[in-house]
Amino acid sequence: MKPIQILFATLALASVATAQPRNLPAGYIVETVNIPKEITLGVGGMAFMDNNTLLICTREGEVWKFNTQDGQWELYADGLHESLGLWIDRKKGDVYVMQRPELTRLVDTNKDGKADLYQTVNAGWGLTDNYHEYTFGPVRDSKGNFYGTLNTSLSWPGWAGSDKWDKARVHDSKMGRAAKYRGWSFQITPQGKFVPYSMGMRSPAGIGINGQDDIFYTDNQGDWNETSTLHHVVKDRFHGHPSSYYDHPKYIGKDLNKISIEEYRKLRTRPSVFIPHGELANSPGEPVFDTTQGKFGPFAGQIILGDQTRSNLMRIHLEKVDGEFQGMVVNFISPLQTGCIRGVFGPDGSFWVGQTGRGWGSVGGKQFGLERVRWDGSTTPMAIHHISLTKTGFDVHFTLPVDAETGADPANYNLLEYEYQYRPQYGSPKSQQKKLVPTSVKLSKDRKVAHLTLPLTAEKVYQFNLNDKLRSYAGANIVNRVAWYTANRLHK
Amino acid sequence: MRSAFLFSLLFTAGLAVAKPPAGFGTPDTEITLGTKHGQMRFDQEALAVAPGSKVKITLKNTCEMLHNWVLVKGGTGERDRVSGKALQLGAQSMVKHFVPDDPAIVASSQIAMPGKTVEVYFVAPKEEGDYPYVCTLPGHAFTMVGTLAVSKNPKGALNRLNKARPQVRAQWPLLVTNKPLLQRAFVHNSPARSICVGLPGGVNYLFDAETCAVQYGWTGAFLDVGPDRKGRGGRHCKILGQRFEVGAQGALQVGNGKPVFEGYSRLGSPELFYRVGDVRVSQLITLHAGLAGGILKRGLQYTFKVADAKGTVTFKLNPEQVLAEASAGKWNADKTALTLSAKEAGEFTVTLLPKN
Repeated sequence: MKPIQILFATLALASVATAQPRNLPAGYIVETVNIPKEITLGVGGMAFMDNNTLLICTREGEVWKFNTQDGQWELYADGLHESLGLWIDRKKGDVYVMQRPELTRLVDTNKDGKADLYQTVNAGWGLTDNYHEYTFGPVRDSKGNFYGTLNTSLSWPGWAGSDKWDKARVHDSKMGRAAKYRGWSFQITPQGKFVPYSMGMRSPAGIGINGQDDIFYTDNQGDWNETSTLHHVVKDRFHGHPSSYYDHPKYIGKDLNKISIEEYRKLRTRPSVFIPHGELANSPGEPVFDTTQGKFGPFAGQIILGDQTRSNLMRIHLEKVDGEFQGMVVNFISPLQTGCIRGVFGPDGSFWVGQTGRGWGSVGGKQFGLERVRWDGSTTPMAIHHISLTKTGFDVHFTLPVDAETGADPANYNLLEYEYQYRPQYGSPKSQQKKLVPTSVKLSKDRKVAHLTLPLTAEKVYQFNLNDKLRSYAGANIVNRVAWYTANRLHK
Repeated sequence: MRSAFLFSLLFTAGLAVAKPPAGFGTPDTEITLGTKHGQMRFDQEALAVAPGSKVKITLKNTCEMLHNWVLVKGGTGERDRVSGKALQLGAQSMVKHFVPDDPAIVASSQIAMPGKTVEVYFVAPKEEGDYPYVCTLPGHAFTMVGTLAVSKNPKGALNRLNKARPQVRAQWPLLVTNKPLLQRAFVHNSPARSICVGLPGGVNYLFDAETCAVQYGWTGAFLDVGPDRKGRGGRHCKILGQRFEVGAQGALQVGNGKPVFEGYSRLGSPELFYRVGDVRVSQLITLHAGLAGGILKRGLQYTFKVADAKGTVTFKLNPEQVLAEASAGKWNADKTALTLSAKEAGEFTVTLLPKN
C-alpha cells in the first residue's frame, strides 16, 4: 500500500522579493519563501538533496522536501525529537539528521519518496529532560567523521525550576552539566564510535566546516562567555565553560570550584573571533563558508553567519596568525524577517537562510521562515572586504578603490581598542577601552587596500569605525562601516 | 486479502437490504449516520429520540472498511461485553453481520459495505436513558462508539450529551487517524529518550530507547506536543488518554548483554530494533484486543524476532499488571519470566492485556 503523501504547493515562483532590508549591499536581493499554512517550519537544519530539492529539518521534528523550482513541499520524515541539523551524502543518498537524543540515518527503503527506516547511528552522550540540553550538528570531514556539539544543562535551580539538574555549576554560574558530555563537542567515526572531542562549550548553536576540515562553532554570550563568539574546534581543546571538566578523565571526582578563574583562563583557548553582543549579535547560528567561488559575490571563502535574535547576516574573515585562526567580523545584511539560525548555499550560489523566532524573540517578529539572498552576478558593492593584521598595524581591504583623498586621511579611521573579561558571570562589558587613530594611512596602488600603522597589543579587540566621509572612488557609501578584529596573537 | 475474503463471504450469503418491518408505518424520526473517513469514528457520536418513537437510522459508509451499527442497553460495560461477544462469532461472523445473539441488543444494522448505506428500523425503548451504540467489526469497537439518548425532551438530551462529550484539551494535539504516529519527546516521569507511538484503534505506548523496553501504554487520544512546540519548547508533552501498565521489566534478556537501541521501521506499525550483546532483536508492536473477564479490552502485542541467539532468551514481566500470553517458550511458576530456546526466540509473540 502506498503511504499518503503530503504535498503542498505555494506559488509558481518558489521565492519572491518583497520589502528589502535596511542594510543591504548593492547587487544583493532578498527573496522570501511563502510557506503553506499547514507547515510550521522552525528551521533546524538544511541541506540540498539534489540541485532542486532543499531538505529542511525543523525544531518541530519534521523533515520537509522543498522544491526550489516549483515551490512544492513534501513531508520526508517526522516524529523526531527537535531536529537541529542535517547532512546529506549525495553520492549514497543517505540523509543524516541530528536530534536531541541521537544522530539518525533516514532511509527510504521502499522508494516512495519518504523515509521509513530511522537508524540510530550514535547516541553516545547523556541526556536528561532539561530543556536546554540541545544537540547541534552534524558536519562531516573529508575522512567521514561526523561532529556535533552538546549544550550545557540549565542547572541553576532559580531558572531551571528544580534542583534535580544542579550539577557541576562552577563558581555559581547558571549553566552546568546534568548528564554526560554536556558542554563537549564530539566526533562520530565512520565505524560509528563516539569520541569526546573538545570541551568548554556553553550554548554552541552553530557548527561549520571549511574545505580543509577546520571546524568552527559559535557560542552565545552568557556565563563564562564574554560575548557571542566563534571558536576553532581542535581535539582536546578547552573553549572556556568549565562545567564540561566534570567528564574530563583527569578531573573526574575533583571539585571544579577549587580551581580558580585564573587557572581556567590559562587552560582555555580564546575564541577566534569575538562578536560584540548587542552591537552585532545576540545568539549566533551556523557559520557557513562561502564555497561558491564568486557566484555569491566578492566574499568567497568568508563565513556567512546569521543571528537568531538580531535576524541579521554577518561576514567573518579568518586568517592564521602565529599558527592560530583569528579575524574580522562585520555586519552584512540586516534585518531579515526573523531569526537567522541556519544557512546553506544552493547550486546556483544563492544563500538560503533558515529561520526561527520562537521562544526568544527576534527582530522581524515572525515565528519562522525561509529566505534566499541572491547576488546579481555583476554589481560590486562598496564594502569592507576584510581586515588583516600586519606587523605594524592593519590592512583594511575594500571591495572597490577608495577615494584617494578621504581614503588616505587617518582621521577617517577611528579605532577602539578594548578587551573582555573572562568570568563566571553572564557576559562581560568592554574594558580597558582606548581610542586610537592610526599614525599613518597609506593606500595601495589600486587604492583597494589602506595600510594602517598603529601600536598593537595582543589579546585585544580592535573596533574600526569608518567615517561616513570615506567613500569609493565613485562616491559610493560603505553600507556597514563598523568592523571588529580579534587580535589574540600578533605576528612574530 | 482479508477484505476480499469478507466480500466473497458476504455475497454468497445473499443478503437483502433491510426494509421496514410490516406494519412499521412511517418513522417518527429519521437519522442519517455517517462515518469519518480513515478515522474509525461515526460522524455523530450523540443522538436523541423520544421514548417509544419509530426510528429509522440510515448508516452511510464512506470508508473503505466494513461497518455496522449496534444499539445496546445497560451502559458502556454492556457495550464492551457485546463487542467482545461479537469477536467470538467465528465462522458465523459475516452471516450474522458481527451481531451476536444477546438480550442487551436493542437494535442492529446489517454490514454496510464500503460506499454503501444500510437502514435500521426500530421502536425506541419506552424507558428514558442513555443507550450506547457501537460498530462491532473487529477492532472498531474502541473508537466507533456513540450514545443515543431516549428522552421526552430529545433536543435537551442532545445538548447534554454534546456538552458532556470528553474534549481533547490540548495546545497542539497529535491525533491518530488511519496510520500509526510516532513522536520522540519528553513526557512527564518518563525517560529522556522516549519514543511515543499512537496506533489506529486508540492504543498508544511509550518505548524507552535507553533501556529498549515499552514503559507503559495508554488508551484514547495520542499526545499533546504543545509544551514542546510553543514558546521555547523543551517542556514535557502530555499523554492524552488513560494510562495502563504493561508489566514492564526491561528489554529481552540474552545472556548478560546490555541493550543498545538501533532504530525503527515505520512501514506499518513501528518495528523497533535493538541489539543485546551481539544479538539483534526486532520488536513489532501492534494493537491487541482481547477479552479480560469477558470484557473486550485493548492491549499490546509484541512480535519479537531474535536472530542467532546462542543461548536462551528471557522475557520478564510483572504479572500483577497484565494478562500475558506467549506463542512459544515456557513461563516460570509465578509467570514473571518467559524462557525461550534460541530456536523458539527466532520469532514469537507476547500479547498483553492490562488488568487496570
